Amino acid sequence: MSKLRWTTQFVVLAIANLGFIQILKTGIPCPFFYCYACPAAAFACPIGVFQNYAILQQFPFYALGLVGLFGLALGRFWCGWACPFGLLQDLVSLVRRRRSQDVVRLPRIAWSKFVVLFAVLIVAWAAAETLFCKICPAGSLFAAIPQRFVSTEFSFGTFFYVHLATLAVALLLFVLVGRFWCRFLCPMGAVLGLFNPVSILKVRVDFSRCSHCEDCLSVCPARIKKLEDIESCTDCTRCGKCIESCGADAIKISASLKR
Amino acid sequence: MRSHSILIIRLILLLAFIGFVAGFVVSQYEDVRSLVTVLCLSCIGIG
Repeated sequence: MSKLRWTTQFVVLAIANLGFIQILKTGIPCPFFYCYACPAAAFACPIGVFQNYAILQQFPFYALGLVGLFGLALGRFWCGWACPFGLLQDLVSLVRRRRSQDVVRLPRIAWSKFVVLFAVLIVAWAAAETLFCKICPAGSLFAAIPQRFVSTEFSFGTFFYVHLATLAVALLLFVLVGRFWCRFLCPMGAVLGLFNPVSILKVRVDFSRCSHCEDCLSVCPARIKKLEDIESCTDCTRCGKCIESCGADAIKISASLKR
Repeated sequence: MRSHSILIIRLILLLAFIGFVAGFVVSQYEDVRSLVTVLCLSCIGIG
C-alpha cells in the first residue's frame, strides 16, 4: 500500500504542474495544498481562493462547493494520498533514522489547524490582504523559489526572504515531527477534516475481528489514541499504515454510503 | 437508525454542494481561474 501511495503522490504532483500548458491552467480548486502562484500550477489553492473571497466580502460558493464534494467523497484521503506538501513531508521524514518515530514527540492537538484556518480567513477579511500566502511554506517551495528561476526580470523583495525563512523552519519541523504541517497547522486539512466523519471513503475498523493490540495506533502518523477515533477523527489522512500493521486484518479502507 | 441519519446527512451535503457549484460556476469560475493565470507577485515577494 505504501508503494501505491508514493506513486499516487508523485502522479498528483505531476498533474498539479500541468499548468505549463496554458489550456490546463484551470479554475478548479484542488483538494490539497499547492500554490497557484507556481509557474506551472494547473489548479487553484482553495485557501488562497477563500482568502480572496474574504477580501471581496463574498461567499465562495463555487470553490466551497467543489471542495465540499471532494471532501464528502474522500475526506482527508487527499492529504495522505495526493497532497504535494504531504509528499514533501514524507520525503523529509526519510532522513530520520527511524522513519516512523518522531525525533520530538508531540501530543495530538486536533483543534490547532482549525484555529489557523479561522485566523487566515479573519486576517484576510480584516486586512484585505492574502497575508497567509506571504508566509505560506508551500508557496515558498512551489511558487517563490521556482519563480526566482523563471522570472529573471523581476527583483525579489522582503517577502521572498520571509518565504525562504518559513520554508527553512518548516523543513526543520518536518525532520523533527512527521507530518507536522498536516497534524497541527494545515488550514486545508482542517477543511477536509470536517468531512472525515461523513466521507463516503473511510478507514473502517471491524471490531469483531480486532484484538485490541493497538499496533495500529502505535504506527499512526496522526498519533490517534483511540481505536474508536480511527474512522471519523479530523486528523486521519487515510495513509493506511494502520491497515498494514493490523495482523487481524480488522482495518480496511472502504467506500459505503450507509456507514 | 445511525446508518439512515448518516445517509441523510450525506445526501443533504451532496445536494448543497452540487447546488453551490451548479449555481455559481458561471459567475465565479473565471474569477478563480484568474488567480491561477494572473501571478500574485506580492504573494511570493516579487517587488
